[in-house]
Amino acid sequence: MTNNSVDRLHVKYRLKLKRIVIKITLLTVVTFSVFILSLSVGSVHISFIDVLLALLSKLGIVNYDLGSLGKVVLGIRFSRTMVAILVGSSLAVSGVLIQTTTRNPLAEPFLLGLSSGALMFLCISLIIFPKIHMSSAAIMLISFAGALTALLVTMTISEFLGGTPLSLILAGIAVSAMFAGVSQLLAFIVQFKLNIPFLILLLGSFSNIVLTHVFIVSTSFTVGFIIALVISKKLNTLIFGDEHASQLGYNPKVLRYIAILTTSFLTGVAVSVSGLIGFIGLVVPHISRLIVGNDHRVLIPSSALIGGSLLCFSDVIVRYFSIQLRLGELPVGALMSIIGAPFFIYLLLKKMRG
Amino acid sequence: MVKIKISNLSFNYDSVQALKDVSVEFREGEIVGIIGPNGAGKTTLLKCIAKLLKPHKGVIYLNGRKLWSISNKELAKILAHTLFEVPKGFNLTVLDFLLTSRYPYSKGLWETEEDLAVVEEALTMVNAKHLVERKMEELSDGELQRIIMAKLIAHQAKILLVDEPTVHLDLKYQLEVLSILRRISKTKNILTVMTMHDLRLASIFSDKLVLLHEGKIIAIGKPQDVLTEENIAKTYGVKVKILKHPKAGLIIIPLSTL
Repeated sequence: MTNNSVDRLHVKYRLKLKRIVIKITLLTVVTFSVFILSLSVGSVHISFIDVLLALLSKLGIVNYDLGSLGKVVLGIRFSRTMVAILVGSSLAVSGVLIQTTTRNPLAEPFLLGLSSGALMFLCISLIIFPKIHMSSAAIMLISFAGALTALLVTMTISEFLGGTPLSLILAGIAVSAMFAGVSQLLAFIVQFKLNIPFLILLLGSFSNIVLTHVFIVSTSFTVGFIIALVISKKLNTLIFGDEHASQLGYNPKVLRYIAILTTSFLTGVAVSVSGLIGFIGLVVPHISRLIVGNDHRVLIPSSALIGGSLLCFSDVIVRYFSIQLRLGELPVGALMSIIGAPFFIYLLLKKMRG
Repeated sequence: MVKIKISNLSFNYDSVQALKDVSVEFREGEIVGIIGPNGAGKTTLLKCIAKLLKPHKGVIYLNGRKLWSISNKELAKILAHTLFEVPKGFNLTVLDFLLTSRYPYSKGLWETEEDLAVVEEALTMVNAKHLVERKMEELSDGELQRIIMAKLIAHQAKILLVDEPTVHLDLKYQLEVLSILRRISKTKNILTVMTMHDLRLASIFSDKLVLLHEGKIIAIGKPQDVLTEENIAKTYGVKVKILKHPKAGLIIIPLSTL
């Protein structure tokens, strides 16, 4: 036994937790900064100071008039920024949940077909009942059902392929390709027969965001995030196998169902407003693990913050270049693929070599 | 007080019968070695006792209560086992793993100082404190076995089910791990049930051996009564010569296959 108190495990552990609290605080500051940056950048530039003063006056803390143009621009940009952050957070939390429940570091909602499943269900429903476009609840429910269906199909095929980590990914890519193909055909019908702008969803974009979308995604994120936090401690046992979780008093099957439903809900609703955005659910959990470690009680909140700021920042970059190059709206989904796919290849290489 | 009573237990994997009419009793303070050739049903029996597999016939009683009437939550404080996996690519650490063994006792969201003290003591007991920050997937087989022992200690259960504690280990680590297991069983009056491949080690470290063959119990009892030339020929299909050594226990010399 050592007398050196610094060497005691509980002292070390408290220190580690303190560091994690600091890291999460910093991540919150980063997210808020990206939020301000996103409100500022666009065809009409609004300075950081103006953005801050306008926000504070909205909260009734100061009295500041941005002018009518500024107000309109800020209003539109606010919706877009909020949705970008919430979608990024939703996809990142989905990524953590699906990676842990499948115990597969390559798993990701887009790669497993959830995103294209949600989009396909939306297209089909809109073609059959165009009126549901008006109902946020219907949109949420349908995209949730689509994502869940795709995930179940992928998992079933993977079982037939032997249930290995790679078979899950291969099954996911196949299911994803099929559902995306159907979505591509149907999106044309939705766009040109029903005059609902849907083609852009195939590329993943925040260019058509309105305030309603903020309500939709903030509802789904709040629900999904709370559930994820509630099961976060139990997920620490599930990652070591069903038998391990079970001996510690949990029901691994129930835990897995909850995680799968939550992932499908978060991803499905995110897709219904922003379209297909891939790889964020893959990249963010890994970055997050490097920063705070594997404890889901902190991994989930930190992934939400990193996912939100990463996707929102990518949207700022996309917006900036769209204006500079005068190309209309570039899709943010493309940028995420350009960043995410090489990372996926890196993980694959590690997996195949190890 | 801890007592396990298994009566007329049968278990099938689809159409393959893995356990047939198994009846046996274990009590606290005992180290029970389950032996038998590959596919005899050793791990299946362990999983049935761990409430991981539901038997098709027969009942397991834990202190007089039916095992399947005890909730997972309650069982978590009584019974610990070593069946787990370490998925690659997550960089899971030894501490991540060991802290989960305290979950059955925790009431709040976070670990208490006591939880960490228990984990620290367990690591000290197996001489593995320096491994606490290491990644599970990078441990050697010997280090991993010691961490598993630390997990069993930190779990503070009254029944330990240990699957193949010495497999893949060098001679030194085999003895080390079994000595740790013996020490925790005897000092804390715990019931330990372990599956074993190595008959000589099983004979030294077990108080009682259960010899399984094709899902049936062939012999139960003290090592010298179970490990007879006749029993080994019948189950393993090998002709052996058994010598008794005052210190090293039974020495089993394989002569030829039958």
